[in-house]
Amino acid sequence: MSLLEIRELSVSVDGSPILKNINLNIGKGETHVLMGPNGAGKSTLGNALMGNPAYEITSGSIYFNGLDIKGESADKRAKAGMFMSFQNPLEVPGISVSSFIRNAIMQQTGEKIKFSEYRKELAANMEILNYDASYKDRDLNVGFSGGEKKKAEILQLLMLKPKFAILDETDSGLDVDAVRTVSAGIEEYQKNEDGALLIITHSTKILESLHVDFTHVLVKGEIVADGDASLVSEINENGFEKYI
Amino acid sequence: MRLNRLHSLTWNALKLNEVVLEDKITLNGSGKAMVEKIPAGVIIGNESCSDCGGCDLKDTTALKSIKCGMGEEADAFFAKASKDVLMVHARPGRKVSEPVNIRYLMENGDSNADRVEILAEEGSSITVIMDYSSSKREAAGFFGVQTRVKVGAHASVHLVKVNLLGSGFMCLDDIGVAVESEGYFDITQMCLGGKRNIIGVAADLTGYKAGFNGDMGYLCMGSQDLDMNYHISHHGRKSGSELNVKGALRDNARKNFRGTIDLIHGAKGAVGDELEDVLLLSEGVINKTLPVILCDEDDVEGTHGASIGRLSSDMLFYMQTRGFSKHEAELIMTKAKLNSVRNLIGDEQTHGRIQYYLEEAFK
Repeated sequence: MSLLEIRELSVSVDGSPILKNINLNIGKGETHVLMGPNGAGKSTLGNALMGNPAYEITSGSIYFNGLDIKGESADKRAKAGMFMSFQNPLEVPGISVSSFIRNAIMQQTGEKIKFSEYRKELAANMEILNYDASYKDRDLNVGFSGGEKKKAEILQLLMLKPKFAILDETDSGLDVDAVRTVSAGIEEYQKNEDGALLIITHSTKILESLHVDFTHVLVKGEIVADGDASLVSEINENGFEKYI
Repeated sequence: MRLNRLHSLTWNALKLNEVVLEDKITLNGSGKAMVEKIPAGVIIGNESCSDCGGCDLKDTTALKSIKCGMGEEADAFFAKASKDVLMVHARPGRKVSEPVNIRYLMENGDSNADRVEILAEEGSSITVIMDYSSSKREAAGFFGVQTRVKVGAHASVHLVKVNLLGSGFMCLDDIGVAVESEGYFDITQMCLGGKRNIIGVAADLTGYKAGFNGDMGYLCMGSQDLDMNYHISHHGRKSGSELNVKGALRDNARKNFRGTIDLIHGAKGAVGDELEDVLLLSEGVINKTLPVILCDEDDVEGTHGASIGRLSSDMLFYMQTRGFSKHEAELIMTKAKLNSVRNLIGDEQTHGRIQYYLEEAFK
């Protein structure tokens, strides 16, 4: 049984159909890459999977761990083990990075966590992301550069340890060094053998150091090609032209 | 008693021109100020003893003419209710790093009004924390305090006001400030407790480059009622003011906010800015906001902005993807708003008290 099963999924935004009859299976521990030109509907799929109410599922179904989650709110999906890293992470004034993540862990697990252990784990993960320790006490994403915001997203990924994570354009707007750092964080997540990923991107920079199992090409709301990691290299060389 | 009257009246239909206090206030004098710390460089005493020669409290006659935010009827009330004045005096040039802590522990049935005067002489700096609290959450009574502050040239005052009174308290918090050349007045307020709270703040920026910064955080729940009136008058050239008011309303709470930036003729180069940020958590709340900018000078800048509403759908979705339900997301964002004000209070003990109060409130 797949961890995530998407069957004949169609999604509209403000009444306009964006995704048409998407089928996708993602198993435990698998890394899938969803590529496609701008406006193909990649982020729409991520948002629909995560339960963003602005994205209306007009037909089809989504099963996570065998359960139909189509009608569930985003927080229930998160508690079930889903996660999404945002393309444009929001600023949360008044809550420190450390406090936000700790609260999120407690919300998801329903259990209190030992502060000393938590701080230790947080420090270790921040080190992987080459994150200055002072950031843990700063308000989440407030005044952060684009790169620091993306690091904060990956830090949450590492701390929350979801079963399945959608990384929506995590590499967009990052310089080469920042992409490398964020990749290191994703690689760390991949070490968790059960953790599955759907990496949404239209560039291939972030994939260079990551293990990829499957690649899908989305064009005009439809998956037009599936393949293994070699499809990434092909797109890197030839672009999306042949699929448009 | 008519309080918090607008300088420039607006439509009566809005019912924001003033607040009328019909309740009869009976004082029993219980609930006195406790000064917890007297740092070096600060003199504290009562007006009644200032002429005795035993201490060198400066004559604070000049403070008496400072206008407060609630208006003349409040002046008369406080003059009658509180015969004595607690005086805090920072000597010239003294930079006092430790805060002066003035606590009022108001228990059930306590009813008291007090007057406080703070004088920061030229080149001095001082922080005064005034904390009104009750040990029992359901305590009821009355507490009023009128605070006048004179900030001398090149001096700075940080005034912190924290209201953690019991849920049956009425509280009048009347403040008047005068700031001289290149002086700076910073006020941080947290209004969490009490049943009915009325706050009036008037600031006269009299000197060249006189500055005012205000940060106010509030949480109104149940049937709490908060009425605020801020009037910042720019007299001095290049004087500057910034006011940030943020909070949340829940259940059937009511809140009025009046914020006036008064750019007076002659205040060339003055800049005033006010911003309100309100989170509405229930259908039954009543929120009224009246930003006013009065301008009698060409070369000035006055701006206001407001963000009033529910948690944005983007923010809610972001929080939900981290496992927070809508209710939990609202709570955490309310705490975040209040924490962003609380964090401006540089005192661990006061932080702790606010934290505890909020944790209890959200149980």
